Amino acid sequence: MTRNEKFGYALLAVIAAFAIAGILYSLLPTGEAEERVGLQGEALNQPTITLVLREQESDFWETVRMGAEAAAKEFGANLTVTAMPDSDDSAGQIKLVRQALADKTRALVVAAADDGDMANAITGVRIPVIAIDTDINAGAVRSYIGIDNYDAGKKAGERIIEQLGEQGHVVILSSVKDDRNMEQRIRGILDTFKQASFITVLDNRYCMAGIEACESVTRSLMDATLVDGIVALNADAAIGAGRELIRRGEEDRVKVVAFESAHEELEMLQDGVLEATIVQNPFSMGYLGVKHAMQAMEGETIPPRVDIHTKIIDRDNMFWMDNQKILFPFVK
Amino acid sequence: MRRSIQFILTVSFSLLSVAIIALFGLLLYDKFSQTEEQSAILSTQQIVEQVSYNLEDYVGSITEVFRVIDQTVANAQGRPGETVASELNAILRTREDIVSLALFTESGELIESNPRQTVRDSITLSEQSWFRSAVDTPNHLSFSLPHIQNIYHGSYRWVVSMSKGITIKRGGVTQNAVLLVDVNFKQIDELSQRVSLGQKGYVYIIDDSAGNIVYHPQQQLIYIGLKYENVEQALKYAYGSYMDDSTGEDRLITIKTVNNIGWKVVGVSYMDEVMTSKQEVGDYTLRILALVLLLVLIISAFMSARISRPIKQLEKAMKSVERGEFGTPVQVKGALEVERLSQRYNMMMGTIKGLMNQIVREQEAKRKYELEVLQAQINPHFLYNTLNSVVRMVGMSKNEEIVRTITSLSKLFRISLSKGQAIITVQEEMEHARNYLTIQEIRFKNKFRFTVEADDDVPHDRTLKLILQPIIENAIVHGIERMVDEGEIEVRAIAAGDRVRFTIRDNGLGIPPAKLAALNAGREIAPEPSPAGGAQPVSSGSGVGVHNVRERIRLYYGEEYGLTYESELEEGTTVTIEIPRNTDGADRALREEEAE
Repeated sequence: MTRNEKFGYALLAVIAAFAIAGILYSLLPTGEAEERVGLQGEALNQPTITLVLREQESDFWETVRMGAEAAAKEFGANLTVTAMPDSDDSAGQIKLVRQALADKTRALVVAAADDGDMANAITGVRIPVIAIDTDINAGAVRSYIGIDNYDAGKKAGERIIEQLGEQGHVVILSSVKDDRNMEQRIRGILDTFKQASFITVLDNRYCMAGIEACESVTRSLMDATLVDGIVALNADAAIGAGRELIRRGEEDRVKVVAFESAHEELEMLQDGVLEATIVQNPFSMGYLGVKHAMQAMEGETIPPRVDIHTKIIDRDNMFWMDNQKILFPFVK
Repeated sequence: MRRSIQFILTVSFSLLSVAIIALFGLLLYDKFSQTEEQSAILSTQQIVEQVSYNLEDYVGSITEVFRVIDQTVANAQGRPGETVASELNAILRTREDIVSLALFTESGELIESNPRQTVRDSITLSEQSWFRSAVDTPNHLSFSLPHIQNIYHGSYRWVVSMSKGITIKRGGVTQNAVLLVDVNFKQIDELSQRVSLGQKGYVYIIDDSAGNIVYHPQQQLIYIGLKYENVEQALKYAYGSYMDDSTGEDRLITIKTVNNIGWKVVGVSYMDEVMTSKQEVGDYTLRILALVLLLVLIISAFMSARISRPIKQLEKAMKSVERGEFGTPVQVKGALEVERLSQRYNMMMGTIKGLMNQIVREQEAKRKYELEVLQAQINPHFLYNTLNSVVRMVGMSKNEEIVRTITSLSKLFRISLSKGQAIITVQEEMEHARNYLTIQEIRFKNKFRFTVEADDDVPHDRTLKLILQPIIENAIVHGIERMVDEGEIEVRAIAAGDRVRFTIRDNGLGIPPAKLAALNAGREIAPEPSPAGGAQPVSSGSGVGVHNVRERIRLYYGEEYGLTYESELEEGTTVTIEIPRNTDGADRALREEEAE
């Protein structure tokens, strides 16, 4: 045997020994299986996705969370859900996002309280970010999942025109000001009114401090002028207006088209105070948010924009099977 | 390209082992995955059955409560209203899940409700399915699908409505009424929600008659079309399992019908979760396969090296023989066969070596004898004697004899030289003998007579030359010369089978037995001083001797040929020489001669 041959054989022997050791090692039980059994659904190798909501306790956000959890279970993710106590606490929300990033979350699903602030906060973030409910103009945002607020506004506008017989004085009432979604809804409503020349828009009214404030705004408005129709851009405005109409006994004459589906709104809808309400599907918003975050993490291309369809709910269809589930997402 | 033993052994051994392991692995894997699948099906079935039993239990218990309420209401006639109400209250308190109960007239008027609630003005009861089914089939307890109970002010709750058309007596009048008991759906919802089949699997409940979804963890997704559940398929089964890939994923669907309420519990488990452990087994098998392959490669490489190394050494040894080195014995250690092979090889080399030595020896002997023959051809002693007799005859003016002698001498020399060939025809050999005898006869003054005869079929056969002359010379010198009577020498050549037989017979003194035995045994006889030869011994001088003849025949034709002596004292001696007839032996010898 020459020197070279000897060396070659020795090298082969070493390689073989390493290979055998490697294979034997990989054959040893690693305890992976036990973990899988023990921590069902929370296996350590599942990526963490953080869902940042706008509010801690509200049916809407609770439903978003349910949808997100359904997706997390289906696609195998660890879901962390955070929200600030106050829905308008933009600074507080950004703090939550920073915390999630510090905790090495693998993806973010964010419902921004303020899209501008949030855009600044997530500039340069490398993980995929999915915006739900409110669009965010930032490079990291891979997809926006939410309703087309302009389109929803148009639906509301069309419905009030239909209710009024194309003639009357309409008030657009909102409890939030300077909100991107609300502004888009208003634009949609106003655009439909352009074609209905007999509709007069009285004023855009903002009632900033909740239901009571909206009630009194409605009261002072109706005291001052004749109002035929009200478009309430959110639940608080709708409930406030409804209460005032009931108080005045004018619930039949004045037509109200609302947004959202708070409990009292639905009572008013069933009792004929409200004519219709435009509802979203928060469950699918949460579900698709997490699903697309998961897909983005795995390098799949995801649509930059996903429209969640809105639905017009009125007294007739509110107890249809599918609508029941949207309007009353929780079994209590 | 020719493959080496090492390569063939390694590869075939490895292939064989891998094939076997792979086969076993495959079989095991197959068996395992079958078992796995079966156990997955079984465990799913068990879970689904458990859920369905729990549901059945639950339905049974609320049915029982309904029955008690029904009885209480039916027996209310004639008893104070407060008593009945408190009884109903007691029942309600024991069951948290019963939200409310109410009694309506057939026209939809509320008679009684507990807890007390007001019905919305906007509600038309006949539009409610639970009310309709109670009116349509009286005395039959019907369960509604879970729905939002929307008839009461200020409350929207998910309930399953139990309703039954009953008859009550009110103010002495018997009338039809509808008893409604709302059961909170929460219990069923939670029961179903808690069940998980694997990580992704779940159960859902459908209504047997129309396939409406009673419970589904992702009901909303189904309603908006983000998810699809193949309910039609599930409706066909009352009990059992099947594979479904209508959603694009392989799913195991397990169905069990819940009695009394007409619902079906459908378990959905995802096959890829079952497959995970299948894949693990597959991986494991593959790794084992790799390990075995590696080990087998190493072992078979080692083994085949052990087998082929001695063979290579043997080959090396043979190469050295090729180069002419006969002396080195091969010392190869290895398997028994290989060691035997090397032993045999060594033995063979020994034999070859012996044969070669023999050939060398024989060649040397041949040369020596031929040299002797050469000397005999021009034996100066014989020539001197012959010429002496010629001179004497000249003195006596015996012209005729002189001519005969000289002629015979010249013929003798011509044949014995015969162009240097070792092989001549029998005829020539006989001619040579005749000439020799003629010369000797003249020289010995007709002291003997002779005959030289050959059979007709032998003259053209071939023979070694000068095999007769030394024998004749012996016959004259030892047999005839000292005889008193006239001698007689007879030389014959006959064909005896495939042999040519020469016989040289004399009627001389004969040979003493001891000497005869020695002659026949082929031993060289110590030369006697020749009386005629003067100082010169016969064997070294005039004759090439018997030994020379015998050896030459042996060397040319082989051991079985040669010459034999028969002799009796005072009677004579017969020498028989046998050589093969016209044989290859002669030809071979000829060729050899020519080749040299």
